[in-house]
Amino acid sequence: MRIQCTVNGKSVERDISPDLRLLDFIRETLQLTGTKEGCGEGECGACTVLLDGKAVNSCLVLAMQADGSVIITVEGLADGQALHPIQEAYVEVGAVQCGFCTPGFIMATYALLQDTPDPSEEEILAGLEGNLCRCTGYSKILDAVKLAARRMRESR
Amino acid sequence: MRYQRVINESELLDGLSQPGSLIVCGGTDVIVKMRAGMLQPTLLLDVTQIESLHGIQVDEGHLEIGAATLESDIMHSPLVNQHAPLLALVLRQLGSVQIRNRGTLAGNIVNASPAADGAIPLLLYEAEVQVVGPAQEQWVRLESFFTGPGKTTLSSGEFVRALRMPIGTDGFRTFFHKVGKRNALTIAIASLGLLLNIEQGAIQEIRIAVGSVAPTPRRLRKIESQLTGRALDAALPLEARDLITGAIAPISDIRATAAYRRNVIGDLFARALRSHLTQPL
Amino acid sequence: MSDRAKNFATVGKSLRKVDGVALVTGKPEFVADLQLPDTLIVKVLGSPFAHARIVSIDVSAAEAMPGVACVLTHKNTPTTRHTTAGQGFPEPSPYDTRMFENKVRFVGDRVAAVAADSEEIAEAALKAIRVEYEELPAVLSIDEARRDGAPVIHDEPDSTGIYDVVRNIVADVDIDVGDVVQGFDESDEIVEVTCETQYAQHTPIETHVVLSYLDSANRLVLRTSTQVPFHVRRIVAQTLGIPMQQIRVIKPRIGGGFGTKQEILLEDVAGLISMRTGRPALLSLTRKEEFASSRTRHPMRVRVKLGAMKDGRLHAIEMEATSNTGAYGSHGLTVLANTGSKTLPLYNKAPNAHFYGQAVYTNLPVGGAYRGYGATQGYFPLETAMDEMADRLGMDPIELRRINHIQLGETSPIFEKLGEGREGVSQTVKSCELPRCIEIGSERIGWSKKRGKRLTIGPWVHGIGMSIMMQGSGIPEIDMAAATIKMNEDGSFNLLIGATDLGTGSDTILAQIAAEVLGVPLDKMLVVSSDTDLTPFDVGAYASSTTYVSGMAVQRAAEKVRDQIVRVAAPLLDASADELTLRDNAVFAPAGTSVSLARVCQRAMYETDQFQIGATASCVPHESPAPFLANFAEVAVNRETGKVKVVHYVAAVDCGVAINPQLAEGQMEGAIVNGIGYALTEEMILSSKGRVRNPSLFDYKIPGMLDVPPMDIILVESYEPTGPMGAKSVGEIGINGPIPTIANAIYDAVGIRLTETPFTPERVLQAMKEASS
Repeated sequence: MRIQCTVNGKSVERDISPDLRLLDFIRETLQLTGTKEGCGEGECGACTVLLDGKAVNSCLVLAMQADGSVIITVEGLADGQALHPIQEAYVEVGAVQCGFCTPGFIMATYALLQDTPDPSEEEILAGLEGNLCRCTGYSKILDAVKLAARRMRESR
Repeated sequence: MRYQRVINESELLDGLSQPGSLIVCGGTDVIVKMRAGMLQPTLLLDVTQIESLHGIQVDEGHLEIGAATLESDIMHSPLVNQHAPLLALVLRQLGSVQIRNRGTLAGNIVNASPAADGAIPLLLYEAEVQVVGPAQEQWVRLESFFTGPGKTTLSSGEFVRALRMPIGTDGFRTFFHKVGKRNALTIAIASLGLLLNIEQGAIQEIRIAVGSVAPTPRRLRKIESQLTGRALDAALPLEARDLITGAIAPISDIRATAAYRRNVIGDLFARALRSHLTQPL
Repeated sequence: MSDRAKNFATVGKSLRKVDGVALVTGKPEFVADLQLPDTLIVKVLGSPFAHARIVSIDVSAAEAMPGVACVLTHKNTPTTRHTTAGQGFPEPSPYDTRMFENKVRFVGDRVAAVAADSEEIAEAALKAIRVEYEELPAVLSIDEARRDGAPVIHDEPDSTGIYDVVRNIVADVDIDVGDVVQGFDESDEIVEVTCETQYAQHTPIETHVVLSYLDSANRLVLRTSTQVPFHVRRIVAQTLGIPMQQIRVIKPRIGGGFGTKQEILLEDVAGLISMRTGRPALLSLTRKEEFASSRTRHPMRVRVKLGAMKDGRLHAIEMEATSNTGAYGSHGLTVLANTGSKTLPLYNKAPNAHFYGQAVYTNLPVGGAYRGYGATQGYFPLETAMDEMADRLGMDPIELRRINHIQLGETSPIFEKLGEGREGVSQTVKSCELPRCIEIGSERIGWSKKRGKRLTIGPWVHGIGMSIMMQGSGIPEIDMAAATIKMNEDGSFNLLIGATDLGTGSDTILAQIAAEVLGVPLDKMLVVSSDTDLTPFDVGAYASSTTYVSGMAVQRAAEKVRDQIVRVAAPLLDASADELTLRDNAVFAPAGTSVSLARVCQRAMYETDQFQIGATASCVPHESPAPFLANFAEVAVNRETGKVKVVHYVAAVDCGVAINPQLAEGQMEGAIVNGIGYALTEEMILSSKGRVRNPSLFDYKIPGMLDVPPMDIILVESYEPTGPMGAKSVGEIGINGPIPTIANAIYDAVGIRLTETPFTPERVLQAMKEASS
């Protein structure tokens, strides 16, 4: 089947199998491998992308369901060599260990801060409850989100 | 397998008339089951773009929610927060941001999991399910919609258009507690929800719903009538505890034993009454 | 901060991880991110039975399917016995495993593998394989394993290194100090505690995955998610019976390991498929397969008996451990030995000690290395027994530990008696800030004002508990790490290390050590790690070895390079080499004159007595200095549901000089949260037939962000004189803390001693009901 969508600002059109998941479309068809698969059932959030502005698990969406949609993946955040403030904050405070869950966390953070620019700690926890990390213990991820939120507010 | 994005109800009914067809909306459940080989549809009907399945409104004394309305939209809806606050509260504890951004309440109901958290507030609010088939459409009480684990009265060729519940419980006290292993993305080991109207120290009305302790989420109507009109005195919680533990027949599974489920529901119920539902649990 | 650490320029700073930018931008750094044309997808058929003989296997239908390139079974694969444990050679684990075999020993054990053009075809082909099994009686508990007449799990004649084949005993350990029988007789108070720990899994977010292919010289390249690239090369060569020089192992970024990737699980299969077909092969476990067929923490039953005098001095300690190694003996001996060797030296004042135990086979999932490595299982009963002893003696638990724990300048006979599966190495403690860890931690948690108060809010009752512990830094006289540094004419350096960064940040801290010695900022140190063709040998990332062992190799290599630099620089500065110092990208003479490192290297490369400035150095540690940790937790126990909430967790740790404090904290935070999951929610539930019933993150609950309590990690610095820049390792110790600390806090709250993990609402409620009846 034919799918047309906008991924990281670029229009793409491909012929795909109807049972292809959005995750596989992103990773294999488009070769954007920043988005990861950790469980394949919506428990870990490593495959989080923005679909029409909302954070979703791309392992739970069929690619065809994204026909006509706007998708943002972790590859779409940096502006050339300049990191997005969320990416910058994650590196700076040490919120990245192995980095496998990181793209999913960054996209969930992006969605959170887009809707809630000045989140309380409770809102951050609720916003990232769908993402699992086994390395960091989450403390530094929490710090990173707070730092990114502050910087994004200040720069507006 | 074929995939079709249906854009109106008549296309949907046409699609449903074909053997092997299956509705997909958010996909949070269907896609996992397809990957695991538990579902093998030959035609997948994507209903997300059908206008008539969307929206939240109050009409003729009912709060009505379209079947394809996202859980995140329901949770944030001012109408829902006003007329069915317990529903918004329960949705906040259901899944995660990513799941609620795809999942629908109707999907949660149609799956008919014994642990379907979304069903608890709907049962308490006396929700009805609008079932649409080729020949007729009707409102079915949610309590009779569930027939067993994973089973409902929905027949092949039919779909759910909306859920609705009568408004008018605005002053009621609410209670919901879920025992799970973790705080997010947790399937309930046992859950208990209450709506309670207390006037002058007596129970004017009580509605009780439980999850994960029976083949389907259900109301405990017999206990409700036994407690209606009773004074909320110090003896009542213990009596209520015995009533509820006698009324449920949970099973043991990998998440907990039957004995634990029975005990915990009893204790939660007693505590909910004892605290007059004012203190946080 | 110690005086010696104060003058560091790069070490001791929370510098950004060298791989951070690549990871946050989603660069294709992981195994499966490299997509090669024509790659075969490999799927593995697992056994449906816990114990069975394969009577016949027919793969003809699978092989005939279009798109199927290769099917492997025991009929067409090498039969060499080996261990999957990625340990130093000779491995202390038995050689009891074949690539494929006509016998299966646990549900999920490997029966066949299919390589096909797509995942769909591979899965269809798996279904087309016809296997006839003869089901055998299975051993499904540690008690059944040693019973007379129990089924013999490894009855094959060619396995070696098994302690007692007929009784299913993989390993046996028994060491004595003094005389515990007499010791207990002489003691005023005796406490005995037996604890059982569950099947638990590492669950790195990236499962096991390998991509294999042949390079231009037809050599086999294994791009694999491993903690032990050099052991992968050796064990795959051994398993496949090919020369080691035919194999190159590349470890790219890997998505977490925690021990489970110290195991050679997939590389032999993918490698053989590439060799047979000439095509790249990708073998990646699904989460379900990861649960069923990878590795677990060894479940154990550990009994601890303590004898103490009235004043609190411990007089005798006995620890008996029975470890369930599952169907194969991977890490069976060493995890068992570490249960004693990493715990008992902590209480070195007791003149009488006895550690003994056995690791037994069962037809259940296979144990392996898991962060903490036996110490986690040992500290649960030990620290529970200490808490109980304090109660019996009417002492503050802190005070009891304070008078009994090992101190600076002291030793324990256990160090020498019990090592990594063999005799150990004697050592004295040369750095120890445990007393300060205890003091700082107890203040932070509010010990004196909260303990015993049972603050009650609704159904929640609060309590606080503590525990102390030590671990080690590498395996003395066994581990080996090497590092190579070469200089470039712009004043930058290549740091080539076999050390394996599994997300811990070791590439960064090792570069910090080299940069410190060579007087350059971190960005002048270009790190290449873990490629068996390019980097020198290193045993890999396990046993808390990287900072201490690999770090020392890096420091020595850097010092050699520094010596070469100053020799070249001396004539340029008209000074003698031994009075020169390196800093700020330059060499300085005492007079203040300087020459840039770039200039020095240009001279060496292009001008006079030309040579490549560069060196390789190695480190074999002669001791294993312990990090020390004091844990404190405040918990709330719900009297109605039995749910336990950790309200506040404080960990004060002495890891020597923290090379990068932010990364050291990260190690502690991650380990503690993993430990909290292990204590409260994580458990592989097995059916009566030995099948994992909850093989998904849906039903195996690791902590999420909402489950994590406020944590205070306090790095209490010491200076370890034998370590690089004064450092010790800190990768594992944190995970040992939560179980005993939370258990002791639950006791403080509601007066129950929990001896079985995890502390689920149901277990807690049950224990409370039993205590009240």
